[in-house]
Formats: sequence, structure tokens, C-alpha cells
Amino acid sequence: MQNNIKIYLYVLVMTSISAAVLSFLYNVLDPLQAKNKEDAKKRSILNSLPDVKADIDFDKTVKITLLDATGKVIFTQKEDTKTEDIDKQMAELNKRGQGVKYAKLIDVDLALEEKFPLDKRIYPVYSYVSAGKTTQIVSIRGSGLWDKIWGFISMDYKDGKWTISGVNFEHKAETPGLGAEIKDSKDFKDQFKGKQIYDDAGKYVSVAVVKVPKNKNWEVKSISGSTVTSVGVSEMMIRGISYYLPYLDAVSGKALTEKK
Amino acid sequence: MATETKDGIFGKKERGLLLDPINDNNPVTVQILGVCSALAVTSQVYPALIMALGVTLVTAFSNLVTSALRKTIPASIRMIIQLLIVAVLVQVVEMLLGAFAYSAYEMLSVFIGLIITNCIVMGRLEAYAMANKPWQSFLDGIGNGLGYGFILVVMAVIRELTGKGSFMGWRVLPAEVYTVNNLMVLPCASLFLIGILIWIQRSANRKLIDVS
Repeated sequence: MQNNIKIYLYVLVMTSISAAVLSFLYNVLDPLQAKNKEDAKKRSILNSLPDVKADIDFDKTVKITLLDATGKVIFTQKEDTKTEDIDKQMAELNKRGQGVKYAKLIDVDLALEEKFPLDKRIYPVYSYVSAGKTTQIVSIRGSGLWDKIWGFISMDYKDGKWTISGVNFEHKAETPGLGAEIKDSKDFKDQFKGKQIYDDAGKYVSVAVVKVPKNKNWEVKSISGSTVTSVGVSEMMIRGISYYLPYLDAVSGKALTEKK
Repeated sequence: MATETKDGIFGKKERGLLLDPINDNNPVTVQILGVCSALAVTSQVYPALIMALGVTLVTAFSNLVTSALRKTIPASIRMIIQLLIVAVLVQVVEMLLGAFAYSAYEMLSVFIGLIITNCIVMGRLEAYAMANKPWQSFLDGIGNGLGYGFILVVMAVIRELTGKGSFMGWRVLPAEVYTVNNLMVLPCASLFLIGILIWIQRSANRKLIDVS
């Protein structure tokens, strides 16, 4: 009996010390990690641009627009958007529950939006302004072979057509050297440049990933040996971009004349 | 004989603790421990280096703490206490990586948590730290971490070079000269690579040649 009490006390003391050490470190290090995560996301968004430079300041060059599930704009960040307005909008989004707590516009993420039913989801658009030209970057998310894949597609409105200027894909657990090539292979990503999302008749087709591309404007070559991931990218491109079509249509009229 | 014990805090014995695990008593190639992560995180050099550093830190400090507490730990719950110490240290390593080496943190993801189950860590606690003084145990932990890390990095260099034609992410073998071999990037490649390493080591190191 005496012995058991000693053991219980020992465990109690050890676990208390461990808990104290861990919670102290968590408080110190978690803000740093959250910042790293945010920076990594910003970098990932900017990497979808064709002429990305390392020193681009995300906060100065990119404005975030939020769309609801029907593609209607619910919030637009402008030069003079006040922090209170953002806070108010974030509080509105946080009311949906599911443990989602946004504090900043950049926090809005499809990974968290997946917790909500389709008609309650919010879709972020990142508008990158450079030399008077605005490039729209949309966020898409789908499934690969092992786990989720996601990406950012930057598009310019050129000669009356929405044209992809660059893509950046990320993945959680695709096989290195095979499925992971969607992120690692520059050749794979470069194929998307110059592709269009509407066909000549004006019908939405997006860009398909196929084994043998026949149609140079709307198809790219898949990665051999990783069919499931390639099909996942294809599905993600078609479904993912479709959510943004009403917004892109509304912007395209404006983009022609917009000058700064 | 008395001179040997007067070697101070860094004598012959201590040197042996640090260097033995690198060759003669390597945890991966001789004791065949920690193979799971050696197979999984060696496709590139950078994550392998970080993993080696993480395991070294965890073995060294868990050895140190366990050894310092060895006389107080009740025998019936010693493994639970050891596991607690290891788990806390792994969590600390994970938080430090997330804060200061985020790209490595993302690349290693689940494997950091799996350091807890790395047999080298528990093996050293049971085999060494429970019966030796803190300083020696600490060195033993570093030595075993380095021995593990050494194999990890050797494998990663070979696999990244042959599988991607690069070193630390830099392309060193141009595509025109060398067509990359995708097989080397897959985990199965490390299985036969580790076999070849063991083979080379056993033929070269006389102490390991089986005389029976």
C-alpha cells in the first residue's frame, strides 16, 4: 500500500512537471509557428505567379476578396479597408461554428471551409496588382492518392479570354517522385501557362490533365506512374475554378478598362 | 589502472561512448534499430539532417534525464516514466522545428512524432541510462544519435543524387548528363540501399566479421 502511494505520487509529480514545461513552451513558440504557417501560405499563393520574386510584399501587393458559395462577392479588401471592417466580417464568418476561428483575411482557407456544407462555404480570391495589371489568383482544393491536394491558380484576362498565367500545387502526402511531382516538377506546372478555362464557344471547360493531350489550349500531360494524383488534379481544376466563374465574369468586363 | 579513472570528464571511455555507435556498434546497420524512419526520411538530404538532429537531441536529453532520475524511478513503472520523458522531449523538438525550421517541419510531418517509437531511444534508456551516470548517458545518447544520423545522411546523399540528381535541393547532375532514377526516391530503394551499406560495413570492419 505504502509502495503504491509512492508510485502514484511519482507519476503525479512527473506528469505535472511535463505538463508545465510543455504548456510554457507552447505559449512561447506557438505564435512563431502560426506566423511561419501564414508566411508559407502567402509564399505558396505568390508562387502561382509566373514572374515571382522573393521580395514581393504580400500585404502590399495582394488584396483579398471573399465570395459566397454562389460566387457573389461578400467582402472586398481595398487600400483603405479598416481593421474593424475585417474584424466584423471575420466575426460574421466565425458565427458558422464548427470551431472555425478566423482573425485575418488570410486565415480564410478551403481546408477549414470543408467543414461546412457546400452552400455555406466561402471562397477566397487573391488579386495581385503589379504595374497597373491585376492578376486574379483563386484557391482550389481536391483529393490526391493518399490525402488532400490543393493549389493556387493565377489568371489574367487577355484578349477577351481568361488565361492561366501560372499554377502552384501543394500536397499533404503524395508519393515523392511520383504524385509529389505536381508540386516538385516545374515542367508539370509550366504546362498550365497560357491554357484557357473557356472553350472557343464560351463554354466553361477548365484544364484537364490527360495521358495524351490533344487540345493544346485546354489539356496538359499527366504524370506517368501517378494516374490517381493526375486525375485528382484534373478534377480539382474543373470543379475548383467553377466556384469562381461568376466573379471572374463580373471582373472581366472591368479588367479591360481598369487602369491605374 | 588508476590512471584510467582519472581521465576526467572526457577520457577514453567517453570518447568510446561517442564514437562506437558510429561504426562498430551502429544502431541502424549493426543493431538494426530505427530502420523505419531510416527508410522513410532519406529521400532528400535536408530533412534527413534535421531528422538526425532531432533524434540526437531526443536520445541525448532523454538519456540525461532518465539517468538523473534512475535511482528514484519505481521499477514497476519505469517504462511508463521513460516514455513520458521521451514524449515530452519529442513534443519540444516538434514545437522548436515548427517555430524555427518550418520547411523541415512540414517535410518531416508525422515522422517527428514517430521519434517516440524509434527503438534507438527506448533501447538506450533501458540498456544504458538506467545503469549509468548522467554525463556518460548524455554522451551515449549523442553518440547513438550521431551513428543513426550518419547512416541517414549517407543514404540521403546517395538517394537524392541518384533519384533527383541534386544535393540539398541544388541540381548538380544536369538532366542532359544524368536521367534521374525515380526508383531511388521510393522507400523500397532505401531498403536495398541499407542492405548494401550493411554488407559493405560488415566486409570492411573486422570486428563485425562473424567468426562462428
